[in-house]
Amino acid sequence: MMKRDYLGNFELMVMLALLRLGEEAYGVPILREIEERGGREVALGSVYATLGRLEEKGLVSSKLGEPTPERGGRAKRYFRVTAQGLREVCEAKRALKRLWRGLPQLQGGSA
Amino acid sequence: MRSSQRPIVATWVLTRFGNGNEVLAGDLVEEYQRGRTAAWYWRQVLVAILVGCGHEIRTQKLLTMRAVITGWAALILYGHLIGLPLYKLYSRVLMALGLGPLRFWWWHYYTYPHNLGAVCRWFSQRLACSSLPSNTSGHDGDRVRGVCAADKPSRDF
Repeated sequence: MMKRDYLGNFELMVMLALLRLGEEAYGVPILREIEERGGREVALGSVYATLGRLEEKGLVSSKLGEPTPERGGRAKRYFRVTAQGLREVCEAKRALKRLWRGLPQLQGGSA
Repeated sequence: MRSSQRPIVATWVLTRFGNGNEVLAGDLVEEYQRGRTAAWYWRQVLVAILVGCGHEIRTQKLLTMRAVITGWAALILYGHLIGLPLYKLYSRVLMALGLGPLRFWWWHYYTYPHNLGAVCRWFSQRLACSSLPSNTSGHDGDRVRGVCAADKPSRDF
């Protein structure tokens, strides 16, 4: 069987946050999206490390925005999911659904 | 929104030791101005440095290994030529003064200086990297920058 590099849990969360945010996906909104919807506190450093890894895999692309005064003259880096990234997210969802099936004790959402 | 006063030391630490990640520094400033605490700011800075350090080690395995081997070789050489005789002398002086033998001298000798040395090397490397001019060109500049910054040029959409 061909070795497949599946998305990790946090990678998947970051990808989903990017998809939800669309054009406005940069560090701060991504962090908030994960914290609010994912229900866990995360560090920006971890988010950027994950984004860097995803970019290396070709699942995410990025571009630098304009520097703004409220950020102390620093620019934002905007991220976007690539076509390959989108395929990976869909495949991860399918894989999870296949694994979920046949586990009746988890159907109601409680173990 | 709070004033633009942010933990200056934390920002300095991040820019010096966090791979010069200006984008992340900007995000932290933005979030801080929206009401995050100084403790949150510091925590983010420390995590960013640790994550960056781990990333550097993972991506620059050969260089990391070379640095560790070179560092240890230099320290061992130094230890046998200078350090060990000095510690023996120190031990004799303690005995002569009636302060008793220096127990487990080798433990003190081999742990503290080496660990401290490793930390110092890392700090000096980070400081050297952050002080490189942005327009450094040429072979050496590229090589050093390659070691220092894991930031690769971004691809446009």
